[in-house]
Amino acid sequence: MAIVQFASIFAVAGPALAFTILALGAWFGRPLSERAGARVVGLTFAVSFLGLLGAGATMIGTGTDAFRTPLGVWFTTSHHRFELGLVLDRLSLPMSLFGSALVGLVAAFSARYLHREPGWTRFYVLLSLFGAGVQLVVLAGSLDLLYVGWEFVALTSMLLIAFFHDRPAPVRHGLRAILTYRLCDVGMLGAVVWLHHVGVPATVRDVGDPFLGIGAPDGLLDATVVGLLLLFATMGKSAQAPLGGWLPRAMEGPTPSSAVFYGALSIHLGPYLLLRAAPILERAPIAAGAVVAVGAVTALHATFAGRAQTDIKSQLAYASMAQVGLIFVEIGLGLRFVALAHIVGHASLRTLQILRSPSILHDHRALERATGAPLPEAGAHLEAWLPASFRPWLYRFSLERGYFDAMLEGRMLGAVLRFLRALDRLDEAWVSWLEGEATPPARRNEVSKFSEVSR
Amino acid sequence: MLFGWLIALAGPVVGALLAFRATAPRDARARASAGAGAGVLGSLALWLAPHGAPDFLGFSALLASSDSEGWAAALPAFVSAITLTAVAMSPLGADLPRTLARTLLVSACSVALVTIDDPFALATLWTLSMVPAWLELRSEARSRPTAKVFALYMLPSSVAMMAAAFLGQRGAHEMAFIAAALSIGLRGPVFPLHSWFPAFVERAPLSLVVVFAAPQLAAFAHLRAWPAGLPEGYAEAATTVAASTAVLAALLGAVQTRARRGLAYLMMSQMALVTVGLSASSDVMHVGARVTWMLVGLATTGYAMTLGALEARRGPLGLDGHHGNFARIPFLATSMLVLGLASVGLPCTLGHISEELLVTGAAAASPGLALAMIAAISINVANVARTYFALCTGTAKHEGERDLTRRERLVLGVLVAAIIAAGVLPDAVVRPLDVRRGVTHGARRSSRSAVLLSAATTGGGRRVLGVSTHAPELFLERGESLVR
Repeated sequence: MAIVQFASIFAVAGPALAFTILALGAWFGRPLSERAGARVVGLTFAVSFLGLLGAGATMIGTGTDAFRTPLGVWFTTSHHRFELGLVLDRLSLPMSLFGSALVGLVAAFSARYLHREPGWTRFYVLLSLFGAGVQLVVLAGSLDLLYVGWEFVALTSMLLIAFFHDRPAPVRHGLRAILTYRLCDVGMLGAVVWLHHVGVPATVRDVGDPFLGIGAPDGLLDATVVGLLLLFATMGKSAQAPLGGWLPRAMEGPTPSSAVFYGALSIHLGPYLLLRAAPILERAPIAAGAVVAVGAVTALHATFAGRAQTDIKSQLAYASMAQVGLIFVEIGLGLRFVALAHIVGHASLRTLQILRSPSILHDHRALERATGAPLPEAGAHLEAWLPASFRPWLYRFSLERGYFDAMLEGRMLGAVLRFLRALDRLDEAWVSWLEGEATPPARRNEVSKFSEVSR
Repeated sequence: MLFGWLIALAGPVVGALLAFRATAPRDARARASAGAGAGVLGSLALWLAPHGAPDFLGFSALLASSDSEGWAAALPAFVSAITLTAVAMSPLGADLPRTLARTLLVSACSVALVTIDDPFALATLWTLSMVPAWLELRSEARSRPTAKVFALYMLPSSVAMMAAAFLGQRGAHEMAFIAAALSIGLRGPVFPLHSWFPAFVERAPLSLVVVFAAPQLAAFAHLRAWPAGLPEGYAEAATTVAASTAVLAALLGAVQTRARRGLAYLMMSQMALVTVGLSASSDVMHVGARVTWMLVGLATTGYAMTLGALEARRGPLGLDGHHGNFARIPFLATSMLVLGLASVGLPCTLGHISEELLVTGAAAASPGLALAMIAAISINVANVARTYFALCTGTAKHEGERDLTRRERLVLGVLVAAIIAAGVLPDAVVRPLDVRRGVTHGARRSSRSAVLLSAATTGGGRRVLGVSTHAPELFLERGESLVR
């Protein structure tokens, strides 16, 4: 079983090592050359993939369903221990294998695609960190450790969306993504806290299911609360309605990172977490129902909104949202193997589509030349079912992306921001009065552009 | 030990004198850095040197020997490291010699405060550390009005601390408790006694701001006054006030349009998180609070000084719109992001360990408290990310500001490396900080500051306002298990 142990550790440590090499080189003013950098990253993921392949073969050959790799105690206090451990089972093995393959392929693809791009080293540094983060999420033996990888994925996502940093739009969208992630991380940490509070270990263990999972609390209320918190945690990362507005905007990043993040891996980490939490959803039918509802609403919303988009990457982003919504529905209904197959199939197809998206006009013309006629309009069969009077409203609704963003920004976030600014002005006025100034400083005239930044 | 203590104190004082006498700002910074560096070496000697050194003119009697073998012995090194970072990162300016001199005097007072174990000495140093900061604010026409606000808040804090020491000695423990709480709350600062702090951060030189605020002397006074924890009723109230401050300050920090004011609220929120941990009943939270204290002190110092470096290059930093070109300032931008995020829980840094301990500890105590802490930390991340994007990205224009100098890269590189190393191998930091409240390894007697504020036990036999010199757990030897 040494190969399994090696594969588990290297899957996380390999990309982390590649990240360290690239980052240290850049910090000390000696970045690796493009060729050397691509080789380091490519080799890392190739070894990781082969190791995991060997681990899979060994586990199948020996009839092992799950293999744990304890890594000791990270730190300990008199009343608390943080144990490190990785788990390879029937859920994490295919995901990890798939993750290594995809990140490795995208790394190879990017070597040519981003050739002589000014941020080349930065891209590979972030891609390596992302690879380590994804593997940590997938292989983590506890929710606490999973959270570490979850955060690395969020950080790299933010920075890659803002990769083209000399324009304000990508930067705004990167900020929007991290705001959404952090909002939903409250759900993740809240779930961990609740499990600790009720005395249920937040570890991935044998729960009598095909996959290892996180044990459910005994009480129905506790299980429901934890289930709902985990659902909220996944809504941000997987861009589920009404919090998915960041995803189409995230396509501002480089195409390879869009493919591997929002077509393949990052967006599917939400469903992956829900698959790990399946015992909790089984115990809490309300939470499972909420997963189905959120998934169904997202699938419908994304289907309609996607059809009103005018650029291919936004269309693909909504297509991803719709498929992930369907995966949520499958998980909520308990169809776990279907969901796993759906994740792998969807991620493969979407990665290919996003990587090809810059060549969409070329591909379109090639198809038309091949068929000798204009390509038929897609979606006409859906339109035919709708009353004519309803179509303009639905088009406007889709074009405005379901008004979700306007509702969240204008009604909810806007009100909070106005209140906070009023409070801050009050504080400044109080200080000005103490300072003996008749009016607060001119700085008060500055208008906050927070809403613009986050738009 | 005594030798180290004297160097730790004399280094900043001599550095202040030399910096004050320097004619060129660059010379002043070099001299101040040398003084601060000597302070770091002295503090390290104080921390690591064996005990039992012969007494010298009776100075040893002043030292807080109860804590000198435990984690508190690291506090002078902590304060000195903050000072060295702040001084070495100070941008050049016409008034730098005077500013650095005052900064080092604040540092010397802080080092003395965290080593001397006498309530009246503590109260005196508490006051003395405010004076250079007030003088600095007074010295500039722009910040003179703020000096008035500073004095309006700090003077009551000083008087209250002195009153606490006096009342504690006279046995009026309830009144001493109230006076100490008021003093600590004002300097902390906690909502609604906080208004001086954003104004102070906005108007004072950043090196002075971080040396005055980042060591969090309020947290130290809290531990000195109530080493065994607050009484239950008061603990709940203190925890609620501190948690509210953490969340509210985080929210206010996220809507600021000026970077310095955003920094002020970020620091305020983080300091409040430390207070939450120190006030709560959970032992895990208590350890988490100490780790957070160390982390926030170092990471926020680095973050603030990168803001200061950028401000020196660009002028006042607004958060409205986007003003930075990352390609021209990659090291400065990366340092700002890493240090800022480390201070709010970036994985594989000490920030993540502190967050884990605080939140896990809160989970055992109260899910509501844990939720408040999670919310505060999450909003602080938004504050840091927003500041980074606004200042370091978003435009192709370049105003000509240069990236970090070699000196700045060295200082920030060491700081980042230390925070990451402590995050990857956290036991080296967490274990020394893992002491039961009121107990330190090798403790022979309790803090005199605590004894003066101590009171009788309440129902259930729990000692509520301090520790007794006769409490049996205070006689644990080094290495003896502290877990029952």
